[in-house]
Amino acid sequence: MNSQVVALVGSPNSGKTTLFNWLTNRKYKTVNYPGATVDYAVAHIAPQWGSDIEIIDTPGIYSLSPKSEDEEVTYRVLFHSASWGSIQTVVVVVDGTQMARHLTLVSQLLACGFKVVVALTMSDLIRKAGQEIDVQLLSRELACPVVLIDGLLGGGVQDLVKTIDTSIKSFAQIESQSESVPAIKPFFEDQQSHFEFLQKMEALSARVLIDKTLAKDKNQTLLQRTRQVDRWALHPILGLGFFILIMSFLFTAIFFIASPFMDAIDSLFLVLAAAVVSVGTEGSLLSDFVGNGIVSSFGAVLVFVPQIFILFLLLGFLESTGYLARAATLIDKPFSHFGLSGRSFVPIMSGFACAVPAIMATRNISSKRDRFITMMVIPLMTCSARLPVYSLLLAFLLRGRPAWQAGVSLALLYVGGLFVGALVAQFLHRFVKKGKNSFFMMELPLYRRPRLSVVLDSAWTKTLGYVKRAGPPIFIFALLVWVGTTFPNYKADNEQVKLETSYAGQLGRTIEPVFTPMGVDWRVGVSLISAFAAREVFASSLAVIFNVTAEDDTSLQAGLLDSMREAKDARGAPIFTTGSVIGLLIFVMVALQCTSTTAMVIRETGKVSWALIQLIAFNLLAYIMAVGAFRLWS
Amino acid sequence: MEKTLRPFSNGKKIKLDQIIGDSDTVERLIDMGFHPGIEIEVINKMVNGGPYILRIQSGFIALREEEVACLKVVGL
Ligand SMILES: Nc1nc2c(ncn2[C@@H]2O[C@H](COP(=O)(O)OP(=O)(O)OP(=O)(O)O)[C@@H](O)[C@H]2O)c(=O)[nH]1
Ligand SMILES: [Mg+2]
Repeated sequence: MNSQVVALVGSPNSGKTTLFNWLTNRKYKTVNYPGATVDYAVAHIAPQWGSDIEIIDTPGIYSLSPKSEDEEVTYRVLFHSASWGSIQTVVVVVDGTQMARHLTLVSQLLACGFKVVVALTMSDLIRKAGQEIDVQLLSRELACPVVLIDGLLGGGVQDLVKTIDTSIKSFAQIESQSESVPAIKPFFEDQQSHFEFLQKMEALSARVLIDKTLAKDKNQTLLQRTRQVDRWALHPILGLGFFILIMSFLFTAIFFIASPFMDAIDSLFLVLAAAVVSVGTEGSLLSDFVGNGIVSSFGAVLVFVPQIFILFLLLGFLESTGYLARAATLIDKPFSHFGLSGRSFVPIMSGFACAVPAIMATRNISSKRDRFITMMVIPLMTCSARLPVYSLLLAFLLRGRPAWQAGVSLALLYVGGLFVGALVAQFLHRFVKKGKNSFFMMELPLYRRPRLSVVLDSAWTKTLGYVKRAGPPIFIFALLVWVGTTFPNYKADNEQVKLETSYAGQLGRTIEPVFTPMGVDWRVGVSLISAFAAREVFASSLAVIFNVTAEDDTSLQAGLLDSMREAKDARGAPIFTTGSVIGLLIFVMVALQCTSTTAMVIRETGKVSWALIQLIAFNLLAYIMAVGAFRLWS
Repeated sequence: MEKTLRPFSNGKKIKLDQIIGDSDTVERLIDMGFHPGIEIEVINKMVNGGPYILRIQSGFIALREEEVACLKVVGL
């Protein structure tokens, strides 16, 4: 028999995912923003708790009438039994600092016939504010067990598991026969009774909160810090200025903080490449493959991993402070001119890491139209896979110039993506017809101090995930491109001849006319096409094709840059000129070279057509803009 | 006399009297904890018709102008 399934349900940002992670030893993303989780997750409880149940994490809900796609998910988990059978026990996760407003959900779920256990989170914050909760009183009044949880340290989790187990057993005794799904009851007969109920819950929460600080207003201590910060962060005029400052810092910092670490990795690869060359016999195919295929292609991408780590780290910091909800508020009005809403901000922001989860995050946007437009523009945000390509091309373009120029150019490319996104949004805003009115209504969570260990850990996990995802395509294309550029004429005594007569060379010639207007030859064309497997592959393919042997260079990257500088087309003109490199940068900025993104758009819009239109339009636009840029600069 | 929150300046605390407007919006406002009789504190108003920041109980909530317009208060 399957083990019992228990769902964690509660208001957005109440600490469900944090609790889920404690219960199941997972590392799902927790963010101090209402609407972080947009899909359910099922996992078996971790062995250390001594129980045998399945736990489901759900997106946050305010009530049992869903108003957006993520709330629908929770609704379906509760009322439409899926593969795991019907749910009978629900852990309602209530933010202890927001009890007065969020207790209603407990009663609604009880009224639906669920067996309910209340997990009151943020107990640490309540204690810190000099308050205490009368758990027994609360439990008696709500008619269900209540357990205090400290989400930071995991306090109370063992208690919670015991309570759940007891609750399941008692349930089995009462209703062992009926396996029916709890009924959905309209909870309140009219608005008036709803209002009265809300008042009752408020009074209750005031009664169970025992205040020890003697302050006149019970909330004073709890809200103090948030009030102080928001005086500036949400200042009617300066607020937007701070917002721009924070964002600019974020994206220039990626470049500057990462630089020393990148140099370290670069040197490491140089040592590795030298080792491979010294071990293999001169001219052997194997050492050529390992040295020129594997080491140089992985080197070309892995050098940029520190940037990606810093990006994840800084985003993680920002996410856990509680600032994101403020940023969404500040940007709501400006975004409305583009058919977006403040709620589009967080999905767009996570698009800077990766478009795939970002498109999923749009489920939190209640208006279908806003959500659609947001999904359409997300792939234009500079995702982490574009970062290695940008950095490589910028390193080429700005070699020998002061470092700040590369940092500023990188920031400009981020802005460029945003700018094209704004144009696309504006275009869709004109032509997509208005739907039902949308709402913003954002709860602004209390500010919390980010915990370094948690943020570091999660950035590290994400970076590993990035490497694991990019690894296979890089390897496969290293192999493909190396074979393609080495055979059949691998005995040729001239590198140039070997390449020109290779399979890739022959194939490349047929596609070359497409790339000539961009000012590049077939070798770059092959790299661009291989980048459809994963954007990073552009950099690794270039490294293989331009045959970077790092023997006499100070670093692997310097070797690649030198080869690029020397690369000439059939007529002897250099390929990588200012014009063509700017063209390439613009191409990568706009092009939708990511099959997972397209798959996700198909899934979330439920239509193939829009994903295809997006795919074709962005790539065409990218091509036209790249050609234009090349013309302009040469 | 029925009023909206518009004329109240930052720091003012007002009792909510009624919630009137589009049914979905009203429903969601109630879900978020608004009900007649509750005390609302105006924390901030963004410029250019941007959202209002309000406080009810221990929660800060940002509402657009048209959402705020559903909240009717008793003028003094
Ligand atoms: N101090 C403190 N912070 C907590 C506690 N539980 C959760 N948090 C923090 O609160 C924020 C929200 O936690 P999540 O677990 O992501 O909340 P959620 O209920 O899953 O939120 P949604 O998925 O958006 O509905 C995160 O920043 C957590 O680190 C707690 O008990 N104490
Ligand atoms: Mg969550």
